[in-house]
Parts: sequence; structure tokens; C-alpha cells
Amino acid sequence: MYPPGGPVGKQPEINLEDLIKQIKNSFSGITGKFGKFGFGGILLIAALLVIGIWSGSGVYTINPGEQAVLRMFGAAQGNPIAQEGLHWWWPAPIGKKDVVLTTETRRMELGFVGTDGGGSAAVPGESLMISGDLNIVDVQMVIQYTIKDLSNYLFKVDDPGEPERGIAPGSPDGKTLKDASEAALRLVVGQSSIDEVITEQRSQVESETRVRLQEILDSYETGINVVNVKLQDVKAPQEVQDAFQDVLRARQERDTKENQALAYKNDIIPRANGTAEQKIREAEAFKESRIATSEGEADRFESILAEYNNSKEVTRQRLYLEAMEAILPGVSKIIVDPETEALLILGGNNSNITPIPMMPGTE
Amino acid sequence: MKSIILLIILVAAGIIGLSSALYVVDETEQVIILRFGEVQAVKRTPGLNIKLPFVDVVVTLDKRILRIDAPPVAMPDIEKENLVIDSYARYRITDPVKFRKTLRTESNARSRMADIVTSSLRTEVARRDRIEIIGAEPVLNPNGSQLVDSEGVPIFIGTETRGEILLAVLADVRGQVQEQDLGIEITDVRIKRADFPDEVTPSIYTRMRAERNRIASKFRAEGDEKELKIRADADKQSTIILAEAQKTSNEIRGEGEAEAIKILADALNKDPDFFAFRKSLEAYNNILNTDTTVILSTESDLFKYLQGPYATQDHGKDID
Repeated sequence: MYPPGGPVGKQPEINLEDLIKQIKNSFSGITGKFGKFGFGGILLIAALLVIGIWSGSGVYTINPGEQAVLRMFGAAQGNPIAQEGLHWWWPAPIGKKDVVLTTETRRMELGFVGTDGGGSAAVPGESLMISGDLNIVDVQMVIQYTIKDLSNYLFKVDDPGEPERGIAPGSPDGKTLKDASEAALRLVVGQSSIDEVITEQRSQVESETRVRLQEILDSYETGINVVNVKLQDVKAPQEVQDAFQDVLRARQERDTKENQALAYKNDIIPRANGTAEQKIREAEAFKESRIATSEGEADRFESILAEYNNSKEVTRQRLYLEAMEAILPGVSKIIVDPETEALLILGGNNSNITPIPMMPGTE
Repeated sequence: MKSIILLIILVAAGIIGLSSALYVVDETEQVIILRFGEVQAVKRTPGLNIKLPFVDVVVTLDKRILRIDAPPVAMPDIEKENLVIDSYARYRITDPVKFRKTLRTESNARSRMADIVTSSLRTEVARRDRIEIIGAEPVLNPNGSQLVDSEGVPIFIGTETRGEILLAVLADVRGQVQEQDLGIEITDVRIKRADFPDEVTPSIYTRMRAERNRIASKFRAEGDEKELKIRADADKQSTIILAEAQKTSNEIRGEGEAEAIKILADALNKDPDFFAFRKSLEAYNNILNTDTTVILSTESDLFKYLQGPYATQDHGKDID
């Protein structure tokens, strides 16, 4: 803003020796009359002492981040001085100097006050406001600012000051900043819905408020630069807090249910796929085993058939007799000679009488 | 010694006279010089000035932007609903002489201007509805119903109506100031706060609570809906997967059976008679058990050797 060590006003280089010489000369008439040890001499020394102390009180320092605005007979002298180091300016009543830390970021709280020990206490009157959808919302905000134009800051705006914030009367960061901040914040909140303020568009509310606030402050020429507007605790008023919390809970419940259902889905479908795979593999195994069994049987039949074809008659007889040999020992038998027409009962229990073909291969 | 006293008296008189003849106008001030009540000069630029000592009186007025803080006042809008509006204004003294004549002091100016601002604001507020004063209006569908977001909450869009109200008030207040020739310039009028009156607040809270309850139950219903949909879909997919697997499985099993039958039949068809013979023997073995009694003829092939080492010739002829 100001070139470092920029225009330095009219700041006369004061040579103390020259000053003393001048004063000596102007008093020389008087001293001459009274001699070296006279009353005049004492008066001169006293006067020199007073002037020395007075002009010495004009020495001041500019620390890093500070700027000084000089006034002579009430009129501001050029641009603020930013060059660090030792300086001299006319002491009162001729001159006046204001040395202010301009680069320091200062803060103002809105809707709450920080308490000793890091806590904070709400200021409901400041924090409760109407949102655009005609709901009431509780907004706490911190404004960070610096001084961008020290001359304007000092000379353009009167302010009753805010002693509780340590703002002296006359500084525009007292009531002026507070009024403008409230007006800007409430304007922006009044243009948004409660959900936008609370959750969705906090940062937009912040930046919009910052722009509006800066506009107002610039229109008053406060010299204040709004660095940052930060929404702190933004919530529904205490009286309806539980209903808002319930919405959050309900939203979470919805998501939980959805997730649980998805978990169920992710559980059941792979299982079904597994079961399906299992069934198919079982079927394939069944198929292969049936084919194999059949092939085995077919092979067996074919090999037996081959042997059978070699000697049909004998094999047929043998097979028949072997089968009878296997079957008959276990069953009750009645052997009948058709010519005798007499029954010879050989076995005990003869309740089931099954005819057996007289000749194999005749059925 | 006399001359010393004289000197001191002279110096003292000089200082007193000088301090009375000189006055400083500060960067933040403007002054009127009065001589016996009559305006002698107006100084608006800062610096050191000279006046007639002891006679001219300096009246200092502020040159900076000054604050008017109107108290919060309940104002009815066009629908006769009250809003408590806390406003402020800023002004500066542009004509010290007129200011001194009309408003006289800053504190008097503050209360006079607060009255003017409040009454002007009241007039303007009475022409507007609440939505215009607060500064957002609902977004409407083409059919005129309120547009809502995914949560069922009406969507609002910010308007500049509050700015318009304030511009109208500013113009009105400026007009009144001009008319009354007050020697000041109103630089800004703003609504600091616009709040519901205390007696309305409980009903607002009731409405807010009802709205939130509605949103909450919507979320809960949506949760149930999603859960049921997802579960039903999962069950459906699972059932389809299993049924299709069953189908494929049956097909495969059928193929297996068919092939097995074919393979066996192909083999058996090479000699159906031999198959029948063998299979019959097997079947007898299975059918006949200890509970069975068979009647056998001694003339059967089986027993053809029972009655002698040489078989009767008529037996077994049918075999071939």
C-alpha cells in the first residue's frame, strides 16, 4: 500500500546544536545585561532544559508492522510512515503522532464472547437471526481484519468505541464494524435457507458476508480490511435443536439400513452363486459317473458277449446252471415228476409257490 | 530586577494572547468562529488559524462519519405481521452553520435522525411482505407449486429486495434532510437486525420442529424403502441363480442318463437275446429269496440228469 520508507511528510532534521545556538543568540541581549552569573543565565539554562526535554519527547520508534500518521497543528502530514526505526516529530502542542500496529490481524466475535480460559458464552441477541426460509438460526461468527489505510482509520469515522472489547472511542472497529458485520451477515443469511447456512453452503455464506462487509466498510472509508469471515457454531436454536438432531439421526439410520441391506445382498448372492456352482458340479459328476458306469457295463457285456459268441451253447448252459446254483439253495423247492403226480416236499415254509420256467429262453 | 519582572509579565501575556489568537482545526474536525454569536468564519480544512483573541469563540463540530443507532422497533409489514427491525444510519455534517442552527448538537441529531429513519423505514416496511424484508423467495415450479430439494425442503433463492427497501429509505430520508435543511448528509441506512417478535417465536419454533419431523420421517421411510428394495432384489437374484443352476443341473443329469442309456443300449443291441438271458438270470436271483417256494419239474433241463447220467433227448432241444 505504501512503499516501504515512502513519502515521509515534512519531517525537519533537527540539529540540537544549531537549535541551542539560535536560542543562545536570541537570548544574548539579555545575558549580556545580566552577566555570566546573573539571573538570566539561570533562566537560560532552565529554558534550554525545558526545550531539550520537550524536543526529546518527540522521539518515537516504529516497530515492525507499525505505521505512524503525523499531524502538525491538526493537519495530517502526507502518507503514513511505515519505515521501522527511530523517528522524530514535533511534540505537542505543535505536532501529534499516532503509531498503530496495522498488519496485526485483529478479531471481532459476533454472537458469542470468548471467556477467560478458552471457553465462550453465547450472546443470543446477536446470534439468533431469520434465514431466508423464515426459520430462526443461531450463527456465531468471527471477523478477522487488519488496517489497510491508517489515515482513513484514524480520521474518517467517529465511533463510540467498545470498551469491553478494548476498542477506544474513535476507532471504526468498534460499533461501526459491529453494526456493519451484523447488517452484512443478516443480509446474507436472509438470502439463504437454514440448511444452506447450517451445512451445505457455509463457505459461500462466509465469502458473501466478507464481500458485503467490505463494501460497507469501504463506503464509510474505515480503512479496515476484512481478512476473513469465519462462521463458528452455526446451528438451529436451542428450542428446536432436538428436532434437527433427529433429522441427522434419521439420515444416518437411512444410510445404515441401506448399508445393512447391501451387506445382506453381498452375502446372499455369492452364496447363491456358490450353491449354484456346487449343484452344477454335482450334476456333472453324476453325468460322468453314469456314463462311466454305463461304459463299464457295456464293456463288460461286450466282453462277455465276445466269449459267449465263441462257444454259445456251453456258455449259455454254464451261465444258466451257475445262476440256478446261486438261486436255488436259498429258496424252498418242490420238485415234481409230472408222471408221478406226487409232491415231494423238501423245504419247510412253502407259502409262496412261484412257477419257474421249465425251459430257459422260452418266455 | 524590574526588567526581569516586566519580561516575565510580557512573556506570560504574550503566551495567553497568542493561545487565544491561535486555534487548531484537527483532521477530524470543522469549526465555526462566532463573534458575539455571529458566524465569522467556517473552517473545514485542518491546520493552524488565527482569530481575534478573547472575542471570537470557536465551536468545534465533527467532520467524520457519525453514527445514528435507531432502537429496535416492531413494524407491521403489508400483511400486518410485525417484525422487530433494528436499523442504523450514518451521516456527516456538511454544513456546520445549518447544523448548528437546526440540530445544534450531535446527540440531538442522533435522536432526531433516528426518528426520521425509523418512520421512513416503517413506511417502506408497511409496503412490503416479510419475504421481501428478509431477502429470499421460494423457487416455484412452472405450475406454481414450491420447488423442493431431495429432502423435501423448499428451495429459496436470495433476492436484493432488502437492498431496494434500504435504497428507498435512504432516498426518502435524504429528501427529508434536504427539505428541512439540516446541514447533514445521510450516507447510509441499514437494517442491522430483523427479528420475529418474541410472541411469534414459539409458533416459528413449532413450525420448524414440524418441518424437521417431516424430513426425519421421510429419511426413515426412505431407509426402509431402500432396505426392502435391496433385500428383495438380492433374494430375487439369489433365487434366480439357484433355479437356473437347478435347471442346468437337471439338463446335465439328463444328458448323462441319456448318454449312459445309449451307451448301454448300443452294447446290448449287439445281442438282445443274450442280454435278455443274462438279465433274466440276474432277475431270478433277485426275485427268489428264502421266502419263496419253487416247484420244479424233474423234466426240466436243470434236472435232466437227476434220474440218470444220460439226458433224455427231447430235453434242451429248444435251446438253439
